[in-house]
Amino acid sequence: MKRAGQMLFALFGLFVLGGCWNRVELNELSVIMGTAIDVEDNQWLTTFQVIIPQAIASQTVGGGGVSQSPISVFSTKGDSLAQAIQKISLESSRTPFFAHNRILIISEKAAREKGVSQIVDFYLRDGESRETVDVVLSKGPAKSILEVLNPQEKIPANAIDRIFYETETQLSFARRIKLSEFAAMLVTPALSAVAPEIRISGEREHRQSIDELAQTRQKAVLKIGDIGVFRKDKLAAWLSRDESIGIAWLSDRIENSVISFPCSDEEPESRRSTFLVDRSRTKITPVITSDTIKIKAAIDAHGTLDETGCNVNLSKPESIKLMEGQIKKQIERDIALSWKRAQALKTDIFGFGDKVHIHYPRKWKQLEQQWFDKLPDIELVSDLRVSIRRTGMINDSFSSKVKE
Amino acid sequence: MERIGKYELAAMIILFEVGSSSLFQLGAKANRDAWISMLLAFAAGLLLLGMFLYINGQEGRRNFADTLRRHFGRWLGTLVAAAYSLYFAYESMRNVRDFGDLMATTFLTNTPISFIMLVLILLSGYAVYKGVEVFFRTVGILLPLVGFSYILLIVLFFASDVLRTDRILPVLEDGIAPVLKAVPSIVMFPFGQMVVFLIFWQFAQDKSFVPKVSICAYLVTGTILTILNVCNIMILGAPLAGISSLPLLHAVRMMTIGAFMGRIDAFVVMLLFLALFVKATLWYLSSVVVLGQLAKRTDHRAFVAPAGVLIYFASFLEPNYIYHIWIGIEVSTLRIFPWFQIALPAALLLIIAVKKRRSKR
Repeated sequence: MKRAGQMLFALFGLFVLGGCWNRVELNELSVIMGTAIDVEDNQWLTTFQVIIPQAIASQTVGGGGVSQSPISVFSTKGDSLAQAIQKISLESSRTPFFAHNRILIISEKAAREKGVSQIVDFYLRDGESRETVDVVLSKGPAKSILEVLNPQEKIPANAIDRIFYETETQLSFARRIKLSEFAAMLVTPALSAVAPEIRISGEREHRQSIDELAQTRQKAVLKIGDIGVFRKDKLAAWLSRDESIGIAWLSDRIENSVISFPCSDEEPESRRSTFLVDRSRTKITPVITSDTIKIKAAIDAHGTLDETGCNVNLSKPESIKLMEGQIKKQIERDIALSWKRAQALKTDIFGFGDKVHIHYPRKWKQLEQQWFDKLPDIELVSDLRVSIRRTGMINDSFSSKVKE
Repeated sequence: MERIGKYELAAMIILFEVGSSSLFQLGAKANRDAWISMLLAFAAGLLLLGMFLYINGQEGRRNFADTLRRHFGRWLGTLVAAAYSLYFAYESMRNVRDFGDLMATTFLTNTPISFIMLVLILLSGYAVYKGVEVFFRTVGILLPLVGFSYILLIVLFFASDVLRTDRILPVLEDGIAPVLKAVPSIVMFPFGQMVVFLIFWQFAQDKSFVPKVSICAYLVTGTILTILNVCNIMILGAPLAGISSLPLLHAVRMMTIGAFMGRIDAFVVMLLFLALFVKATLWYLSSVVVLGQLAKRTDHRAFVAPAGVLIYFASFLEPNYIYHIWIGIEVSTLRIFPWFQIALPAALLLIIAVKKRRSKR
């Protein structure tokens, strides 16, 4: 009798501990790689990029022929985000699975009108989606971004993530903003959140066709565009690419970058050289006196000369000095451009407010409320140290040899 | 007679204390200075631990219920011991509910919480049925696994660049007052919960190692908890860490190393499960052991089932998780726990000290 009871108990355990209540079958899932959020008729319009597993598998084996699109895109509408997402089941044969979602594209309209708080709340609250998803903005409808195929990657959402990674590490003017970081920026009172824009460049009507992949030059490609600046949780303005490189300099985010600079103040603009930044450090120190606020930016950058069209003798240390002077001027111009724009917009995209908060916690209490209004009166003093460490595989400029 | 070794005792203290505390952002009221509150509470908890150890040192191998009866008198002593048993059961129920809700929000979203908690209470009941020695040895086996995981987690935090030191600056912006305000609740949870070992120290193989081992293990847990607390703030920032219902889990989810290591949150949830199981079971066990002592029986097993049923059904009393957390923070920690963690032990200490003085004269 006792034995039978034990057996029964063990059997019961088997059933319970299998966890079958929450079973998820792999072939019943649709893996969502990218999400786009638009606003239409005051409703949320969510668009999803879903992997077609068979299409991806066949391409790896066959290699040659392109027959089926590796992804499928569909849109749903709802009064709330969760409702819109639930409506997938009206048209999808599989359960949506969000854990592999790589990018979240928010349209300008949604970011301007509705604000992003609700979207962030939804993502932080939901257990399945990751906080490491990249937040991206789009000027046009966000859904169309997800329709563009990329020749180099099978899954376009992965391609977008990779494009950001490449830009971040090679050019530094735009970087990936993860949802976690985006949320942290939004809740820091004196910081204005930023997020990069992605756009379709080329002929938009060709973007959806799988036949596109048979061409060597795509008619439509995805490209990183401007940087969106937020005021509270609403999109307020765009910074152009030229205006945004200064953000990277002032917030110590330069990993690698190329700076093209003129040979000298007198020479024509057409002759320029390029400096490749290997490493850079920026130290921001606010200095507050009784009536003025100054922000000191000490930047220390070094790198390699990448190309030159100038007629210089690079074996002489003084010509290197001259070039360094030109690079400094170029960086100063870049920084000034960003700073002026930020001042005009009354947004703090560099986190200067945070620095003041840390250095002057007492004074910050009075400044906090009117920080953004104070921005135009703040003086930015930059102190640059640029050093060209190496000049690559040749010393003297090739141009100078041609002329002799 | 059941006996606990040095290592088992240390293992239990570490797992028990780290336990469910890493679920919450302790001292969230102090914002980015939470870690200072944490250190202060840690120091205050050390005083409490000293008090518990002193009481234990005076009583030799006498069990807890007998100690209470001896010093508070027969009736009052019995009443106090019964109250302790109830308190332990309540603490156990809190952990069972934590476990249920953690599971329901993370892994098993469709499984009814009643089922999840039933599985836990059955498992705990089995461990309690097996007794003190077996359970302590089980935890001795679990410690290397959990300890290694926590160390790995902290190393990974530092290896991936999610830690931002400027998130804990400026230190003490609003002065010391908000920091001090957050201290009492951290003293009660988790540091003051060391009171449970008043039941178990008497089982030590050799009573002389008890103070040293207990204090060392306590220092280890305090360090781990403080590091995790600081990491949470440095990763999430104080505002997000404050609103997150599972800050450690959120923090872990933010972490990616290279392009391949991400999503190790499943691993952290497992860690939290283990810790919650240990904690719920130890409270359950202590409640049952005290009942056994009250009934003057060497065998406590008769009480396993009734206590289990009580704990299981009590865990349904709260209508939702919000209420569960609210009652934990606002009511229990500040109105109920101080009685069992400070007032009663202090009264006991006072009586023992007075009696000792008299007998010397």
